[in-house]
Amino acid sequence: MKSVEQKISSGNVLEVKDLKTYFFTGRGVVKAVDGVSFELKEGETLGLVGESGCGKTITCLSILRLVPGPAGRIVGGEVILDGDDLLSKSEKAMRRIRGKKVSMILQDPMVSLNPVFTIGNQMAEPVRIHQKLSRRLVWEKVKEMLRLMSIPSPEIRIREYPHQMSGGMRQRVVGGIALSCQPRLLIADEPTTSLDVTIQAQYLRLLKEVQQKENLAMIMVTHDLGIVAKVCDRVAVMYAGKIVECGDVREIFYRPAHPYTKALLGSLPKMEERQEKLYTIEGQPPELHALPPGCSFAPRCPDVQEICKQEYPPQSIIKDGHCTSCWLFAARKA
Amino acid sequence: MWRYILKRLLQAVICILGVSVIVFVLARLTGDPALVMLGPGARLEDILALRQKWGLDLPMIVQYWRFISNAVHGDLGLSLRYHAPVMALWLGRLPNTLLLAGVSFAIATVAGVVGGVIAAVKPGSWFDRLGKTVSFLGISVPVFLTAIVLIIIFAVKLHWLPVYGTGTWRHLIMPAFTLAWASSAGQLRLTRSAMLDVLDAEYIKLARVKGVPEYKVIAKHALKNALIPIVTMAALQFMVLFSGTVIIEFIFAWPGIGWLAVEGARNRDFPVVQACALMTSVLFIAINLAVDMLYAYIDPRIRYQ
Repeated sequence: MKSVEQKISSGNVLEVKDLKTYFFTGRGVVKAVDGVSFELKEGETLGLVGESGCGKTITCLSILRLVPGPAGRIVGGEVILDGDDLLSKSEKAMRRIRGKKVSMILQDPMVSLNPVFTIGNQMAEPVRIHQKLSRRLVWEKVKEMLRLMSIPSPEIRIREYPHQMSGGMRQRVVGGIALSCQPRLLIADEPTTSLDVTIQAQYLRLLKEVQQKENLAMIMVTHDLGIVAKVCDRVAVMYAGKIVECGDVREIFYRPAHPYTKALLGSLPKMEERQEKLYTIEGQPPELHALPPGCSFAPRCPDVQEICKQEYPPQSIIKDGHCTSCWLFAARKA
Repeated sequence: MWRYILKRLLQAVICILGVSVIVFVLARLTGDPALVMLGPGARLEDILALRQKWGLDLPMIVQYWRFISNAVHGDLGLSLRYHAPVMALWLGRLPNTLLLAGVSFAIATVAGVVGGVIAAVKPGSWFDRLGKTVSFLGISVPVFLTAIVLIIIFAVKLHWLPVYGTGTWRHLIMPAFTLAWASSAGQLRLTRSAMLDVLDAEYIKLARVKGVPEYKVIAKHALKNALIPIVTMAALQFMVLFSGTVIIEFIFAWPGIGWLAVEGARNRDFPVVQACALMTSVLFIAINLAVDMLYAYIDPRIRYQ
């Protein structure tokens, strides 16, 4: 059996190792993130995909240590940013990292800007907190960010309020806020879900451009495989709090290994074929507070075997950089 | 912005006119003022003379016109009992009421808002539970009971504070505390729930993502958004404190305008009642106007409508 541990090469901006974030609720312990590991290099984009509620967002919030308390707690693992373990840092030290070294773009631009403060005020905040600049330079920086995000007439825009802007414009402002302190890592949590399709494409192009210019590491959380194909270098597929398959975009799209990944790809409509009905995955995602003992996908899996229901499969490496946790592959190697 | 202010001002004027009509009509519904003044044994010619002297024989519309045009000049008539201008009586009592209402309002608002914010930041904590109990009692215990218990403890038994009257700050403590407790309770509950709502918002998450210190997340990003209901509640509390302190004024022999109005009603001194009702309404409308302006200042979405 091959070693599961991947050798960690230097030059990784982020390494997440065996991250576990649980929610302690009245109905039991919800294992929202249950042993997630991945790494990210400079300039690389990792797509984090999966159904709603599979733990993508909580994974991202755990990196920033902003898991909603008091129910939610990071119970184990490591989050290493540039060689520093974020999970062992003090709250004060974390505040110096948030918005500076790690930024995040939240899902819905319509509600992620504060309605009672001007765009300028909200954009200037992280600059003021993380960079010791004079008042004039702060405003220069804000205008520069607006220009970077292709927002016309920044001098006027900084005095406006969020409700005076369109959704696409607001999301650019949120992007500008995230990028204003030259972060090492940008987490984009479904940044285009609430934008319409043309604005979506524009925004992604813009984000990609900025990323290349700044050589940012980026995590793109999405359930849209089209976006993954367009912007990501690697993909991690999440199911019920675990990464079930991880690999290069081309590998995942052309040679998916895990039945869940295959099913996800299968449920995409195809341009070249005439389809009467879209493929759907049978059943519902499992309740996270009452997971089955073996593989969480077993109840819905078309290739289910006896062992799947008893024990969680180990990670198997299919090809360099492409790994999956599925008994189909573990068995083959054994 | 100016259009918004102008619109509100115009609405306020119309509102005051409406109130003046209601007050005028209500005062006259209590019966013939001349009969009331002269008593049951009065002679007819005396009644007629008095009616003529006060202009009560004129058509209602003319009487109203006199009333309103005098009122605009600050003349609300003479008190039947004290034979003094009602306006002077009212103004004489105003400082007492403003002092009591102002001090209890300040205590209630600061305690209510600060307590509510802390309770919302740590829901379920010992402070939250304490706040819940204290405000629950504040809402349910009638003010006269609180007042009497305070008098028994601090004035009668301990002799720390005077039982009643005005003059020094020590006179102010018990009535102000009694009123403040009752009115801080509502503010605390409302602030807590408004803050809980706001703290769940995405923009609060974004503020934290930006690295904003937690105290600033609460005091700047959250509180300003929770301010609309808080300001509304504060204004309501002020109006209640200003007009509804009759019981407390009675218990502590505090000569305020609430007492003046009740005295007026008991003595059938209708110009006094009329003036108190009108002036209180004008004050309410003025406070509402100020609150509307505050809304616009707090929330740009209102400003740019």
